[in-house]
Amino acid sequence: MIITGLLMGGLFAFQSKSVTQANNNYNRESRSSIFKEIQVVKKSNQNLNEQLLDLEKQLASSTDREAALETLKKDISKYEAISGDKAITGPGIAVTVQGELEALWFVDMINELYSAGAEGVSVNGIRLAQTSLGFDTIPNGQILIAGDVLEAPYVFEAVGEGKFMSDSLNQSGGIIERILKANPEYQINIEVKEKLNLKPVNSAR
Amino acid sequence: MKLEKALNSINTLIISFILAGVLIGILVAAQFQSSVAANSYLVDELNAQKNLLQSFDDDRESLKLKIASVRQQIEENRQKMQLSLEQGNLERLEKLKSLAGFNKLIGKGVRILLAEGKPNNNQPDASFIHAADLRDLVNLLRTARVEGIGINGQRIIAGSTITALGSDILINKVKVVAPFEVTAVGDVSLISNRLSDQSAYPDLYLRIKNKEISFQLEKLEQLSLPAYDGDFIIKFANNNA
Repeated sequence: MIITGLLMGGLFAFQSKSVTQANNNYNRESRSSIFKEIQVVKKSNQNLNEQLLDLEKQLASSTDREAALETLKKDISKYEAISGDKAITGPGIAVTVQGELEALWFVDMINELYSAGAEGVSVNGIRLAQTSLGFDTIPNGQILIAGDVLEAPYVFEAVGEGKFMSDSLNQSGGIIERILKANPEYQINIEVKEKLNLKPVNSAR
Repeated sequence: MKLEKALNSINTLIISFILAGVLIGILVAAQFQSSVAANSYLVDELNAQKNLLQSFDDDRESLKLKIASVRQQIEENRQKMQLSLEQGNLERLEKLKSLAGFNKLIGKGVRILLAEGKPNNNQPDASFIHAADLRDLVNLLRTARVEGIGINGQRIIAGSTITALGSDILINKVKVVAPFEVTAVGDVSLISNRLSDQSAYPDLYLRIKNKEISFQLEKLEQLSLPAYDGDFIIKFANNNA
């Protein structure tokens, strides 16, 4: 009976460990996360396909002077938008956070907005379009970016597909839920806008 | 009477053994079932999703090669027509591409090697490098006004994304694995100064200090960052307003 008891105890322990292991493996591979990533990567490939088609058209016309000049101007216009050299307008979302945020939330919010397909982003009117713009915490806890102190409420504006971006931020376990979990008293409002106007990166910088 | 008692004891013993046997049988069956669960539906589904991602990755690499080749041909044609096109436009395009990180960048800078340490029993997560760690490090380097950043061959531009996929990390939607080589072109003393500020990245700094993550900084006279080669389509933004 003692041997049987020991056997049973051992089996119980083994059984419980194997079930826990299975659960841990599963939790680390969050389903919502992998679905989201598949969506993102699939969309990225679609974009690359579109880019390739566009470039092939450009190539076909690149020996014709007029057409070549036209595509060159289009290219310049595209990189002006990406580099933040010029103001951009377009549909998108405005996310307003009422409450003080730590630098990490700015970093994560911007990351989420670009993940959701933002083509241009600004925070409290400051366009984030170049690598040399980081969120710094100054000794009194305020956030500094490119020499400007950010003050609440924080308004993140992103040009892109408004509904898609809004849904991405609002998804279960998404950035909005995470900020509110860390700061339950905060209020966050997402507004889908038909037209936003993002200023260029400050040329004096 | 004695015989009856002895028989009763034997019966009780047999019933106990039978019950114990049944219980063991149930446990053995449950054990087999649980190992099937761990390896079948959920894991199969995850594997199928990972395979799908891998096929998307392969497609992307092939698309990137085609795009690079077509771009080169367009560039060559533009160079041939250089005299008839406005030279200023070509120069402006190259300047904008450099500004946005779509051209290679060579210059003075630093190389940071981040490697995962041995798992710690109390905090197994502490020795892993997370996507958030890399985002924080990139943000820190940006506050040092660097000209460009690269991580494991991926150029970081303003619109770059660094996200977690289970235990993996995607940079610019491309899977990257530890150890991480973070390179930055910029003012070396300013970068070193920012990296010494533990309040700028407290979580990662603490794990580096506790030797849960290995951190090596190297100052380089010259390093090269690749051009950004991911997707970036402008569909909604208009700068002609």
